[in-house]
Amino acid sequence: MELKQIKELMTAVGRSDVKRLKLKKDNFEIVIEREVPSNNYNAGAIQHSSEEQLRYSTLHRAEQALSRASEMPSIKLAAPLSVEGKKEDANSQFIVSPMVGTFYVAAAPEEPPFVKAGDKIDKNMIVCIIEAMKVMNEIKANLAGTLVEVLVESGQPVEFGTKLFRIIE
Amino acid sequence: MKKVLVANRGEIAVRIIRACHDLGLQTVAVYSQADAEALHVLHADEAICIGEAPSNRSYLKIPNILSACEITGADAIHPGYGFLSENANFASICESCGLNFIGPSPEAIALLGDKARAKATAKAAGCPVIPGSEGVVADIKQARQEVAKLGFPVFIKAVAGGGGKGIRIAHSEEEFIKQFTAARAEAEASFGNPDVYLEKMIVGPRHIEVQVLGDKHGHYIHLGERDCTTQRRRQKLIEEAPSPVLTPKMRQKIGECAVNVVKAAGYYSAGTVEFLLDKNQNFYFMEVNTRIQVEHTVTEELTGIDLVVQQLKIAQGEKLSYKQKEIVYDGHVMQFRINAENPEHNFTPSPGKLEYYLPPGGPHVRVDSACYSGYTIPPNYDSMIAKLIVKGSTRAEAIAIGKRALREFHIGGVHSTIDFHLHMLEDEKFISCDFDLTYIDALIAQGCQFKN
Repeated sequence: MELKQIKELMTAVGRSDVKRLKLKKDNFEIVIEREVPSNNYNAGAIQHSSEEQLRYSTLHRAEQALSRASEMPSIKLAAPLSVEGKKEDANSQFIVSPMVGTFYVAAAPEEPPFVKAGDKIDKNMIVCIIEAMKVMNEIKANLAGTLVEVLVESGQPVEFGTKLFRIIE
Repeated sequence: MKKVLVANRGEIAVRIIRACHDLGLQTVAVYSQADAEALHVLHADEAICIGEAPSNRSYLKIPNILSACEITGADAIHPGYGFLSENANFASICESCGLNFIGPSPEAIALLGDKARAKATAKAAGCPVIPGSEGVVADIKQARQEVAKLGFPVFIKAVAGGGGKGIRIAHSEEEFIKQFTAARAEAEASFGNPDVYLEKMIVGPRHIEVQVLGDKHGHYIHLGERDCTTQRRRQKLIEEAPSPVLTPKMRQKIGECAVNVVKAAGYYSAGTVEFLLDKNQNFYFMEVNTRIQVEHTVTEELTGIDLVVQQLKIAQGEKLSYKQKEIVYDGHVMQFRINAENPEHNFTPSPGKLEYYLPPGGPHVRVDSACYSGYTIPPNYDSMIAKLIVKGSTRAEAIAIGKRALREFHIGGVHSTIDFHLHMLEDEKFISCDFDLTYIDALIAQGCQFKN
């Protein structure tokens, strides 16, 4: 198995719910294991580990949007639709991704994370790196408060608007 | 090619995704925050949010689009029309990143995208061109010399313009001096390039454009012309093929001319060469659109050839699978652009929620759209709701089917231009093809509200 294929496999695992993947082919064996984060990804990211699941989630996504759209304007939804599935603290603010790329919690693999839960955050603090096109972009908090939760995994692809950190004033 | 990222939105993004899926290719949609529930996002295999609603923060944001390719593993980009489709710089960047840009080469885009250079290329290829300045007119002194040769009325056109924008008219020397300065200022502000050139205004013109296809091995064919004379303020509203006023001999001549122009530019992929036709059947080269166009559908229905699929095949290095003599034109096709605009009030845009959206169906009726019942048309982009394409064995039959289909098209919640089209299909001059590019604007100036 080539390095490129291993990297693709890791990305695929990283973007899905899969916790452990074991692949055996001839004399080659690889195990990829990860901790599944407590929150799901945001609505835009698609989870796919097989073509069927991909087709299902595409259909599912379309049907969700279409059935939402067909609701009569007079019906008010009981609670706003949330992919995360849990009620958010009214005081929560979010640091969101300002670009498309790959999220990293630290400057380098051996380095400690820029921030962790419980830290006091100020506006100019660098909270993470988002790698785009081989450029490591340092991302500033632009918010002040206390970091409650890191919402994405290091190495996870993120898109514009993906919630990265939950902050409380 | 395995995975195509569609760097566009709306109906053309849906169109491209369909062609990709027909060929078994995977698709990635990119979208702004205003388009989270857009149809192209729902149809694609994967979707990445690339920025806020304004186009320059999303659909024009090259780094975000390239990053989206990177994280999804897309190996090709289809730019659609508008946005980055005719941006030579973007095409070049894609090349450097090892991404297959589904369109012509950056060099061909740069050459033919520059209106003055394109005209020079056409002239050198033996194509009649509109009398005008030889390239850019740098200052008022040079401009006055040129206009003395051309006479009035004359167009002042921005070199970097397109889609009908960046054009001014002068009917006299006095008007010309004012308009020339204003045109340069406007071009600088709108396109970042103040350069303008002059062009004689053809009186009573019709807009004839030819669809061409070229592969990466130097083979070319044309797929006939489209007549897009029904325009309001240079925006096409109804397109048809074949042109009801062209003789078969003229058709062949214009087609060959179009091929010679793109051949001279080393072009490949799909493209359109635009001409003006005067009352005496003289045709003049106008410009080249180095992309797939909104009205590509008309040619598809007339010839039976899927142009987006052809683009994908050409991009993958395949040879053209059609020879010129194999191209057959069957019947008469018309496309009606249904926009979210109010024809009774000067076509003011009317974005908002589609309370219901029920398109027509049945034989000889095609609808290309990104709308659905309950969808909210955002105000940030174009006002297109759908393209309605009908085909008949004759022009009269196409008109009859068009009327039927338009009556079956039910759109609620926003204004639409359906009534405009129904009005035109009863208009004597439209039916007898006795009109030119100025006709719709003249009707509006007379206070026509396109009621039925």
